[in-house]
Amino acid sequence: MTQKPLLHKWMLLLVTVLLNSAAVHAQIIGACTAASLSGRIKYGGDTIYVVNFWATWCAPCIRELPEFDRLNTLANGAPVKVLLVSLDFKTEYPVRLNTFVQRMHLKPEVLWLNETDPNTFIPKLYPDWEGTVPATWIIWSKTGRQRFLEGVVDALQITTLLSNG
Amino acid sequence: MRTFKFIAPAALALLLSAYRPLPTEKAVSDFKLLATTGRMVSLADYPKAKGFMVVFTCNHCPFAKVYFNRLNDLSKKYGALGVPLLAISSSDTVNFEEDGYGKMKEKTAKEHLTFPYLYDGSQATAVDFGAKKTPHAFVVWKENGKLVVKYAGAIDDNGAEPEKVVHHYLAEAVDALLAGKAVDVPETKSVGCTLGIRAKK
Repeated sequence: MTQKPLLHKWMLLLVTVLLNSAAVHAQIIGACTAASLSGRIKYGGDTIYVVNFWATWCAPCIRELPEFDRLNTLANGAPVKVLLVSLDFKTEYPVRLNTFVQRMHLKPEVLWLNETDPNTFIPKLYPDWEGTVPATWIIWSKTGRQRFLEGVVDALQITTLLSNG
Repeated sequence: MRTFKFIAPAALALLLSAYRPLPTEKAVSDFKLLATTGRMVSLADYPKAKGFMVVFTCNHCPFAKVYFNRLNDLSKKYGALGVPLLAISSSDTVNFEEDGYGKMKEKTAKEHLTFPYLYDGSQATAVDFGAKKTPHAFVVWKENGKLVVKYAGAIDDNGAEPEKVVHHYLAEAVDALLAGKAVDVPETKSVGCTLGIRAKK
């Protein structure tokens, strides 16, 4: 008998959450692992992936994020897919990360990396990555070509790299 | 001959790009840095130490913040075994005012830090060690009058959840050296806040 009111409460909560998220057109931030992310990139057809590793705890990353919104516009026509991969702690996902992404009005797809040990996940992604953030990884899925840039980048720099193939 | 001319530099470039000197097994220089106690501290102040844990860290970085408690524990445990821990902040204090010397002093008092917390304002020590981020941990061992890096990388394998740590990389390196053995995992990949080294004027 105690089950029923509890169920109602959950339903109400669910409806509220859905209504809220519909109202702000927020994206649902998905979780990924190093394996799922590298798999997605490898079988990406002709997509050029621009993967930015960032975290809400990283001040230079936050300043850089709007550049990836700009990149989405600048790359107009090219098959470019921007993925903003957050290295935030588990305690930040999903609630605080969602709030942050909504507040920043980020348009590119945001993912949360569900990994804890950089010594395990970095070799699965790009082994030469020193582990500093921000870092930006460009992958031309069709040819397998890759570039990895540690440090802050801007949209123009990335579009120049993209147009040079 | 022509193809050889073309291939040789390409092969050389390939070789060079594949060759990266390991950060471990290199010798580092001693330093003399201002501690939050007001004293100048260098490794030479510890004549009886077998080696050191040197951790580049800072006040502002959340990834570094979660480790201060663990540094206290490591310092207590291994300090007694002849391997003191020293923490160094080499942050660019123009960008991160929270990393200034005054704030470092506050943190030392507030969090009862049991190890010297040193201010590397010139960033020279970070450059010498090749520290890239905070936190970035090193084990330096005394070997034939030199200070040789025996471990470089992460403190352990889980920043956010200390209770779920499986590999205590830094501690395991020290354990091995204390037992007279080679370090199993001399280098690990780690994540942290970029240690922005100022361009030389």
